[in-house]
Amino acid sequence: MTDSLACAEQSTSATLPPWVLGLVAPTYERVVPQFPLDVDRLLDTRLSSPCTGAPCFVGLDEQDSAGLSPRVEETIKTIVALGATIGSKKELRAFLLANPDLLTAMRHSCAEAVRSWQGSVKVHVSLVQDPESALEYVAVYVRSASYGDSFLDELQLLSNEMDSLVPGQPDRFLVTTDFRQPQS
Amino acid sequence: METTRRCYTQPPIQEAVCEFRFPEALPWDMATPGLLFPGLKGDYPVRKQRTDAEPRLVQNTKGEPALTFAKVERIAYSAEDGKSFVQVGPRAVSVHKLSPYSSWEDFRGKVTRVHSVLLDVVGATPLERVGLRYINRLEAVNSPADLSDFLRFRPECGPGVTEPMSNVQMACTFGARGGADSYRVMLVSLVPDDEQKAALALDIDYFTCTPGVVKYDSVLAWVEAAHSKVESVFEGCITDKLRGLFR
Repeated sequence: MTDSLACAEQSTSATLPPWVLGLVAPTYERVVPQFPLDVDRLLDTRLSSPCTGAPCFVGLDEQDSAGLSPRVEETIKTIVALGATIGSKKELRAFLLANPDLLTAMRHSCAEAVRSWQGSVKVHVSLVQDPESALEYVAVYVRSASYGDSFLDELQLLSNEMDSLVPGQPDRFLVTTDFRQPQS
Repeated sequence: METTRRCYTQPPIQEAVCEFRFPEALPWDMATPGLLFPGLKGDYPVRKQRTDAEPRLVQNTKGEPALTFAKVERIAYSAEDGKSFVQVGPRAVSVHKLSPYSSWEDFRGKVTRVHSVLLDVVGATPLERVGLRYINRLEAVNSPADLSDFLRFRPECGPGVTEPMSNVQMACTFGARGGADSYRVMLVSLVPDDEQKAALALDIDYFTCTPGVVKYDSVLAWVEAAHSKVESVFEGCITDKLRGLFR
């Protein structure tokens, strides 16, 4: 199993395990640990907050003229601040500029992964091209030192949660694992 | 101060935006974006519905802050290459040009055509707000410590701060036209493509402050003047050393 998934970045959906494809329905609840403070801060200080008047990130205020690239840059910045690695930042930037619907899901999937596993995982974000359909999508790989059943179950739940944030383009975004070891 | 118009072969502009916001009183429903399409489809034939889940902080039943996601629907009419698009949201229409940016004349032409379509569809309505924003991505700086070599708009920390600067987040707002307009200049660290270098956004946003201050028939003159100001502010923010990298 590990061998077949070690190269998931190049794999087609046919080689992905059933829980990634949603063929196995989860029958449990994910226990969400307490919010680590730094993740809270990373998310909350970057949100526009019309209700609370909390400070907004420079360049993302509602008073600013509309701009797409600041939102893309801020998403990449948040992902990196969460300790995630990115395959090619230039390619990811171009992809997100073309698919801005994915920005919220990108940011929150990385944050939720770090939050849920209390920093015991590393997140890697990469663009993947499906060799059969030529469709390009962004994959958020959650890498853990140990891949027990509970990890996979929780990852499935996280994936389902994030799918709800990309109603327009679910085939452009995937939260999964490639079963690699997290690298520092 | 008169600023000589400069043209660069490699401009650092990551995105240019001209945005029109309309007042709440203007009738605007789900059909309005579709009414714009016939006039726009020559330049922007690709229609995309953008469903974004925008995070919002709200209070839960216990009065505690809670994070929720509000679904925001926008329509984007895009050129075939995706580098130019018009975004239509609730009572807001913005014209975008992503890198590569060819010239002001080209972008002004796009703004003029969208303005004309808006005039046909929504009429000569007083505008709530108009904004012209240029977001420049600078990835030539070796480190934030070298800012003085490249930028005249930068933080000055004084002799007490001797450690190297690792992150920049700075914004200043200035009044213009006797307070009728404002412009905000922002300098923000970005994640660089090349990890050996530092990346910065030099973001200049010029906008009206008072609803209705610009009449619809004078919007294009306002945009032209706003561009001249943005251009002179940009030139004033950078040094010749940085300027040389854009040639």
